[in-house]
Amino acid sequence: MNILVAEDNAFTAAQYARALQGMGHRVTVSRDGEECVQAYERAHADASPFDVVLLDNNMPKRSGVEVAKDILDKNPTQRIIFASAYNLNTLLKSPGTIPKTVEVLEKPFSLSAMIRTIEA
Amino acid sequence: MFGKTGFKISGTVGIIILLLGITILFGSYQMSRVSQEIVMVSEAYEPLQGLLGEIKFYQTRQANSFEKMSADPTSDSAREEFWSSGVIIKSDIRQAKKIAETGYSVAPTDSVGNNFRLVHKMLADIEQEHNGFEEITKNQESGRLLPILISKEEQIQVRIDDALAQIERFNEEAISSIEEYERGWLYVQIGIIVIVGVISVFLKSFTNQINNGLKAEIEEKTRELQEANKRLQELDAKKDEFISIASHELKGPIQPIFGFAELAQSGYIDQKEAWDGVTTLAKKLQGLANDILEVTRIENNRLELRLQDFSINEIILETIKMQKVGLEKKITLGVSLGRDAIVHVDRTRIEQVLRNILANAIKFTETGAITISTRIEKDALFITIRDTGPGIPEEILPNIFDKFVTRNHAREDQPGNGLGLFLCKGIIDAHGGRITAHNNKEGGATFEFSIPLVKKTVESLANSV
Repeated sequence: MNILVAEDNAFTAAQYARALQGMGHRVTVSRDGEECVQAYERAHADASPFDVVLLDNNMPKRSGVEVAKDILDKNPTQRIIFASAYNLNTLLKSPGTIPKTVEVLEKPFSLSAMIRTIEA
Repeated sequence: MFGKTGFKISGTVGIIILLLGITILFGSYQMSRVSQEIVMVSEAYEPLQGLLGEIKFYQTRQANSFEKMSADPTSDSAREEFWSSGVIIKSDIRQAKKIAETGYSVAPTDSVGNNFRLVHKMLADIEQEHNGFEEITKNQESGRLLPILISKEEQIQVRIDDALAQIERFNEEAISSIEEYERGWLYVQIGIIVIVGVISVFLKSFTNQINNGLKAEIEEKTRELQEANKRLQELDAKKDEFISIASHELKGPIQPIFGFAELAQSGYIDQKEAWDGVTTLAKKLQGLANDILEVTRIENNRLELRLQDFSINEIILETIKMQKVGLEKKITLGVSLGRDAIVHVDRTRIEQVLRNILANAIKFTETGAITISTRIEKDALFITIRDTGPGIPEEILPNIFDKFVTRNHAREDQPGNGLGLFLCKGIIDAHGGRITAHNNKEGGATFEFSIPLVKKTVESLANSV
């Protein structure tokens, strides 16, 4: 699978990449909201779209919710998974509500649980 | 305030009631006094007038009977009439004199007393004339005496009329003086009532004024309370936000700690890498926990300072030396120190402030120089840290010393947790100094803080213990 990860914690981002690559997936890591949207647009233009976007909500420049809205505007069927320390209720209350189709992984989660969710 | 106003109002009402009461009391007292005087005067003058009338009547009768006696010396009835008239006249005069004496002794004023004295004298004169008249009648040569007697009798009549007229005048005088007295008191009463009325009108405007004042005060207090309530709600919201962000930040490192453990277990990374990572994250957590505690201390004004005298230049040079050790970027750390000064500070805290600002400058400056300079102005020492980095984003510059304002502007792996500058401000405030930040025109940011140089004297220190 082709996976886009947006995570500003360097350790966590590296761990996601290590674990997913170990399972044979292709991983692109972005470190903030803006970088994430740029990477998504680039891939879209190159005709190599991502199967899954794994989003942290709490990121510099643009929040996960804002990025998700942007991506869904371009591609409403894009699969997005939120990986956040906020629970779902808090997320739904935050500005720019996210649609119900978005999946949520509540931090802290085990890397194997993340892989299971992504591969499901 | 309410009690005071109530006291004022009830006091004024009380004074008005008191004045009205005094007026009524005086009025009724006066009325009773006046009626007493009228009674006294009528008791004294009226019987006098009656007696004088009687005397006049019997005097005429005595003179007539004497004429009859002269015409017919054998008439017993004429003799008896003459004699009885004389007795009645004498007794009437005595009685009238007694009344005049009594009137004199109870007279309320000197002039009234003199009146009675005059009446008494007149009565005495009449008595004397009457005695003279009777004396003359004792001489039996009536034919010659008659004209003398007639003139004597006329004289007595004139005197009696005089006395009657005099008493009538006195009576009128007394009544008019009483009336005058009454009128005077009426004016006083009218005056008091008018004064009370004026006071009432004043009281009305006075209470109106008080009411308006109270109303304004209540409105102001309500507004103040509303503002205070709003401030409290804002503070509460801020506290909630702080707790929410702080707990989120504390949760942050937990995910990668689990991650390191899982990756090491499954053999994706080696044990050393995992332990190093976990140690780094634990340190980050420790730092954050400490900073949150410090924030709480500063917000509750419970920051304890261990103040001692230090050379400021030494503190600065020491801190820079430490920062240079771990410096990986190609930045120059320049120092331009002014005259050294002894500062009375908590050295650890001031070093924390310097370290924090320097670390921020190093974090954001890729190339160029960071310069620390000092200067002494008035009673304070100023320390300035200037960098050539990108400057502070305009949207966060006004709140740069608040908590977590840099949260969405820095990556999590960059040092700092969004509390550093808040702590710096808290520490500098606690030292009695000021901290400011601005962007340089030619790029980069400048932080400046001051430390007061006025040392506490031994006495003031002793007093403050």
